[in-house]
Amino acid sequence: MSHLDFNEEYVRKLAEGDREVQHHFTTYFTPILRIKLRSKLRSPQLIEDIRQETFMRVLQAIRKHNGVQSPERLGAYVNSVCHNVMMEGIRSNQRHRQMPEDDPGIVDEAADPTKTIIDQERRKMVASALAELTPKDRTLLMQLYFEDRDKDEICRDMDVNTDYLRVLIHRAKGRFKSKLNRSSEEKH
Amino acid sequence: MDHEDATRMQACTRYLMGSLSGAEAAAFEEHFFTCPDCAEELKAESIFGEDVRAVFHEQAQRLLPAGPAVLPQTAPGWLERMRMAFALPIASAFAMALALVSLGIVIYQNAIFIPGLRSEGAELSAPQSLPWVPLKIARGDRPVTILKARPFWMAYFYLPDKVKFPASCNIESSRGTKLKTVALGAPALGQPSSILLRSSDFPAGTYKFNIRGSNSDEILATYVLDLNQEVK
Repeated sequence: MSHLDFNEEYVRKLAEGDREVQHHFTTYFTPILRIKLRSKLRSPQLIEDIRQETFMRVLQAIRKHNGVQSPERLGAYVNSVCHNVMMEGIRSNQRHRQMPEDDPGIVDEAADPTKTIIDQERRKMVASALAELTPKDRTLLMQLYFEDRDKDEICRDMDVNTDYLRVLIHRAKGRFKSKLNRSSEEKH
Repeated sequence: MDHEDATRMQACTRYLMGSLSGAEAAAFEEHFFTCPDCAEELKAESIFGEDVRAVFHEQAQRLLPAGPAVLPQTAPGWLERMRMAFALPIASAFAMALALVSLGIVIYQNAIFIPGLRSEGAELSAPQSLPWVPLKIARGDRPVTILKARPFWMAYFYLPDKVKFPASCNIESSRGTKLKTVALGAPALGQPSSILLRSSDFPAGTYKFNIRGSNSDEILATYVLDLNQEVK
């Protein structure tokens, strides 16, 4: 998605309930909130609860105070609210309040058939990039991503260090990106 | 942490791998929530990880059998249908018959066998006189008569000197059928050997008592008894 600058106008529109800006707000922050929360929590339900609670608190705060003091720091504010909600969630481990009716709600990404086709195409390229790796490197990635094994344990078993694993992921990702770029050029 | 720091230390990859320290991770989070470039790279790398996971998952699924093994289904023939139709009734009937037999055994034991044993035990433990039947190697024509009402009788005999104890006595019918084998211990000096027998086991007839030594099949002595039972 295209990036919009987090400025005073953006925050004002967000406070006024502009649908396009609200959609951008939730679409932009949902993945990074999930990434942050997944790095700390295991429960998908708790992650979704915290994400929703974070959005609700941020929107309420913006509407109540008619914006934030530093609109360009909106991202940092979202991160801060998320951190506080997460700590509360960990402490209480209880269900959070439901989103209000006027909330933009959760975007059901799986329901988008176009996205499903794009996902399938992209995964073909990932499979092709993985096929170019040596069996040892494929095994390393499989243990890391598919078997969800601890990376230190994997490195110890496969007799490699964590830097090697990081470089391997970087290399595989690079191959995938080059395939993605080639594919885009062929289409155009 | 600024964008250059994040790029130099490959913060995205290290963050997703969980390789950053707590302070580094917090600093990077603070950064990527305000840096659209790092946020995009983080998203892309996260999606890449999910794709890799999905690809391995699909490959693993392809290696697995399509479904649980299912035996080919064929319509059951008439014999199979009959078997299925009668399986339960036959099993029920068998169970019922087994229950009846068991019940019969229990009734027999309680009504006849156990009272009989009790009666015999009582008869044995009570003071009584026993018919003593002497066995002789050369018996005359007259049969020995015992009363049927007496549950037991005692056969006694003097063994020849050649018989060494312990010995055994095999009782046979006149047709040569082995009925009982009794171990014989050495009697008191000057006393005969004796065997207590149940009257009901010896209907009227001729019986042979063959005496054998412990280490040989050789018959050392044979006593023949013509037994008659009187009902009084």
